[in-house]
Amino acid sequence: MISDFEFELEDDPVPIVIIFRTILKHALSNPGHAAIARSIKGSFSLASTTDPQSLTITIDASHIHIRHGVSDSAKIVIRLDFSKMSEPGYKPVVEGFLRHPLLAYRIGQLLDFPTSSWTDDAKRFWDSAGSLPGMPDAIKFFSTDENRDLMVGDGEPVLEISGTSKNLSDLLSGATILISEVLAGKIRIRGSLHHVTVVTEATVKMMLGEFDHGN
Amino acid sequence: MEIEPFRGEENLESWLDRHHIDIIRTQATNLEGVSLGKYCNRRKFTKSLEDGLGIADMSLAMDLGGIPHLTFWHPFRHNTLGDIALKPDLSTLIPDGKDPNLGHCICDFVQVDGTPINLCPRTNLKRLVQMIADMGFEVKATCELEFFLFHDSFNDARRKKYQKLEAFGASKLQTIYYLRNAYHAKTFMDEVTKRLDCYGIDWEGWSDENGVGQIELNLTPTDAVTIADTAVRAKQVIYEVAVDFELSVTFMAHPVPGYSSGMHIHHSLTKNGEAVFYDAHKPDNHSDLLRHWIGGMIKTMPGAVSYLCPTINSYRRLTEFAAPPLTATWGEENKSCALRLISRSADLTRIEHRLGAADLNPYLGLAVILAGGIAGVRHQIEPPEEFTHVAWGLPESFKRLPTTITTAAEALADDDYLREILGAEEVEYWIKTRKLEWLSFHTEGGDPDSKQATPWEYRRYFEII
Repeated sequence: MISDFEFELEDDPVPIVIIFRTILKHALSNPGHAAIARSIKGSFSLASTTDPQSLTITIDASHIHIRHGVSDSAKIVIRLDFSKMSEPGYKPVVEGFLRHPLLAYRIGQLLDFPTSSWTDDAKRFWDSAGSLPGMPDAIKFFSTDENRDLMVGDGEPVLEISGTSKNLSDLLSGATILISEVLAGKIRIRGSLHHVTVVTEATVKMMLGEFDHGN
Repeated sequence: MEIEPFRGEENLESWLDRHHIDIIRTQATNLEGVSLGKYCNRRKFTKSLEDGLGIADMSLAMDLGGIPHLTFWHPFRHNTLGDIALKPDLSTLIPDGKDPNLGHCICDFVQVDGTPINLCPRTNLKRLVQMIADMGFEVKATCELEFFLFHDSFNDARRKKYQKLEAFGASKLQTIYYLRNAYHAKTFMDEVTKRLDCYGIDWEGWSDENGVGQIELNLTPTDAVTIADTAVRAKQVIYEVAVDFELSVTFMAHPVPGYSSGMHIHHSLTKNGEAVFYDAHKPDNHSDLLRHWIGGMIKTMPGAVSYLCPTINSYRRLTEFAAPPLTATWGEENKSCALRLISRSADLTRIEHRLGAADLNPYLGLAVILAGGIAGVRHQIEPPEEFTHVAWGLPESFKRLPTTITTAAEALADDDYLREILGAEEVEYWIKTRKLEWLSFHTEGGDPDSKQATPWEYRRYFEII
């Protein structure tokens, strides 16, 4: 499903702004999540506790504006480690919760991104990135916890990518980057450096929303 | 291998004997402008004239943090980790002059079978110079090297995270050409120029520059490839003298609040030694060739910014009335324009390109400037009117050059002329490297709202660039 939300970013946006557009677009393609977003009106900010990255999201009906920095207009400010925000049980610090409990609750729901099927993510990834120059003819994904695989593309599986369903889903939906995940030991690969590099580039493009043609 | 005479000697071996050279330091420049190379003995060096010296292919494709490019690909690389080679250019072989056993030789990155790699900055510049030669012209160029000199050793600077270092100079005021300031740096610069003389590198002069502890070194004009070779060699010499004197230097574009270092690049074209930018029959002395050459450089300037201001730190230079240009303008003797034209006599006629930051890659900086000129002639591009005002503080409506690494990369992506001349694959790859630099800054601790250089910039650029 394609989200009917309109996204507007600051001029010359920084990566965290673009990445959140990608994440939100993906999440809002889920009707339940879209309904949560429509129930929110106003601005909230997210600020990293580990580096200077921060952003402010303003939602007004179906219009979502994202800019970097913590805005004075933000009623809720969430201070967090972005790399841990999708980990189960992770609790960020929420400022403004007592003054705006309902808004804070809805923002919490919004940021509890729906999980998607790694196989659906893999098919979407291939639809978007499969024709990039230098991509392997086919990729074989293997979920280590589900013990099942999925092949996308035609021909011999020239690149194999394996990991848990969650890590595969994060990778293929634009939340993580292939080589970083490989270096972190979360994803395993078998293939040429050429293919690993090109697929890594595809995951960067996915993260930065470069396959999207809408706003 | 056929033994050939070498510089008046019977062959290379006898030349090396006469200069007592047992060890040769090879030097090549990667995309980021970083000098790479190996010290090798004579046997290995002479063997490398045929085969090249093996070096990991990643060396050409590595960011300033020392991380190989693993997020984009270029066909020169191997499917697994492989080797490319450093191919010595014997025309650049020189004795060290100071170290009795040492010689130096500039190399090009080539495939192990000797095939040129166009992504190699020096190879690409040579290709453009050949294009210009095919048009019937020779390029004469020079550049001004600006840098900051500090009393702190590199070790101490590292400990202080490169901030609040003690700059050279008598005055902490904003001065320029002050002899009292210059005298503080004279012992250092005497050693620098002595070593340049030993290398046979022609320099013209040096002076106190605008920033506290800032020095400018002027090199003697020569052909385009040689001046780029000279620039990277001179930067290495300056660095080494600083190490030997337990001082520190940096070629960062904006290392201290309020002051910046640029690399102004001057160039002209000649034909059989005659200046071809100059036409005494025209009222303004400007030849048609010059007009189109400027037209091309102005047209391609937004995209050229990406090469001329390559780092996050480069863009901190670009502020009003701070010397660097902010607009794609040209003007006779107008230092507020991006292109300052000097055409008062045939001998002096040249273009000073004032946009380049001190942290640019000299090969790529020259290449993108020449590419603009070539495009101008090839497509008969007319320049805008000469800009006769001060090109700073202009109304908002006046179009500015890109002021960020991303907007400059976008301008380059939109520039079909530069793509045509510099090579589509090479331009595309460069754009990806700039995107990586942007991503690294923002995701590794860089503060986008900082008005001054951030700790991330000091860590990444101070010692390396």
